[in-house]
Amino acid sequence: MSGLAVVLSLIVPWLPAASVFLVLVIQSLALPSVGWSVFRPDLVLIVLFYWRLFRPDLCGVMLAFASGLALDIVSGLPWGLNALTKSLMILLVGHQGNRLRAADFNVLPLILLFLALVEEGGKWFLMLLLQGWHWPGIRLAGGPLATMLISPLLVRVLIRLHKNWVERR
Amino acid sequence: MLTLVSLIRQNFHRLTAAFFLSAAVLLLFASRGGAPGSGLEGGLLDLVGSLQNLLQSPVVAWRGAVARFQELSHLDEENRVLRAELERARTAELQNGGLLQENRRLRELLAMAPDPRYHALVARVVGDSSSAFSRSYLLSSGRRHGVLMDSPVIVPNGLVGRVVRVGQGACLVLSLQDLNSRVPVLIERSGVRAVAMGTNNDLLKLAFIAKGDDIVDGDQVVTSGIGGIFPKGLVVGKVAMPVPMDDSVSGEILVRSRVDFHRLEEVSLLLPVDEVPLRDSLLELEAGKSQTAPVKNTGAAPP
Repeated sequence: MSGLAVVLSLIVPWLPAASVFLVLVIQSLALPSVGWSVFRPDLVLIVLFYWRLFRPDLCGVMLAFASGLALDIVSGLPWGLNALTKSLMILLVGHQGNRLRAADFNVLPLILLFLALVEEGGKWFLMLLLQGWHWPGIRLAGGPLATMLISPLLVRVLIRLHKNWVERR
Repeated sequence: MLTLVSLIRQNFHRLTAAFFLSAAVLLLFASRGGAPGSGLEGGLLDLVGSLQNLLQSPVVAWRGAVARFQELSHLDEENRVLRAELERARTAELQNGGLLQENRRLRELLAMAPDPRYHALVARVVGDSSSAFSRSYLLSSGRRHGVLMDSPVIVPNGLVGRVVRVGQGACLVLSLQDLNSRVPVLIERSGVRAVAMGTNNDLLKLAFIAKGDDIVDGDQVVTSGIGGIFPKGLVVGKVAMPVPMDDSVSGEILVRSRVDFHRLEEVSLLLPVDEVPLRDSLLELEAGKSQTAPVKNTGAAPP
């Protein structure tokens, strides 16, 4: 085994985690304007969804927890909020993995819309319990809709990364 | 014990999930009163901030380049506007300088000692029709401004000449320097009379000087008033380089005018006061008068 292959074998298992944290940074950079922040897509959810669906061995609850906690810290939300919802989403996707993997590629955005809506609803419910947040109304759907719209593009990037790097070994 | 280990191994994923979910819930409730500060938070923020800076660097560079480009294009536009303004300011400055000089000259003209028999009419020199054979100027005032034939033309430094042709809105002035100009003069110091003749150059020649007349270098030459065209006392110039005379031949004495004929812009025409009320009637007779009037000793009009 060559030196490059050794290095790749050490790096590749961390590629899903690296991609999650990369999109976390991008997500916090996207739409910096406060007025448009309701349309901020949940890129972390898309990446977690993809890796959990197609490489569940490289994307577990720990990665979801860590990425969610990082999101909480970066976004100023109470610690554990995104960590909990992302972990639950990962568990849900893992539970329905076989069914989701059988779905057509064109249906994936709708599935992601559903997951994002559920996650946003769960976050609001938790915050309602903890801090008495008001119902945000239609604004709750802004992020999930943006997530759905951008998911085909991001998924294609992830497929390329998956085929060219992760599966190469 | 072995059973517990095997149980954990069998349910590792479930236990892990339960652990992290519990941790998340605990964190959530623990942070109700505010996020617990720790080194982890600062470290993560630093990490994310560094990554953001790294990712943003091309965007920032691009934005900087775009801003710089816009700034440069604005600078170009601003530079063009400023250049146009500077050009306008320079033109205005030149105009202001010209107006200042004109103002000074006009003030000097107005400050000249008035002759009670004449009133002054300021006119602008609009043309210089001088040539190798004549020295004359075109003024912007004519018959409708009250200009008459033979009106003396002066500037603060002295006599310029006289009007030899009059139009409705312009007149032609025969310069002292013209070859056809003849002006009766006297030496102010000694009272010696003579006639100043033009030579088509900068110097005038004094004619009809008698032998032994008292004329020295630097004597001021003024009009004598003889002939009735030029009032007495108008400065013609100063005697320059008198040639020594012998006993038999009248000498040649040159006079240098104090007027800068090359830079005439505004002049004063002296119009007789008593003729002003009759001006309208005189205008009708002027053409005939110019032909029938005695030539006196002032020379003829240029060809």
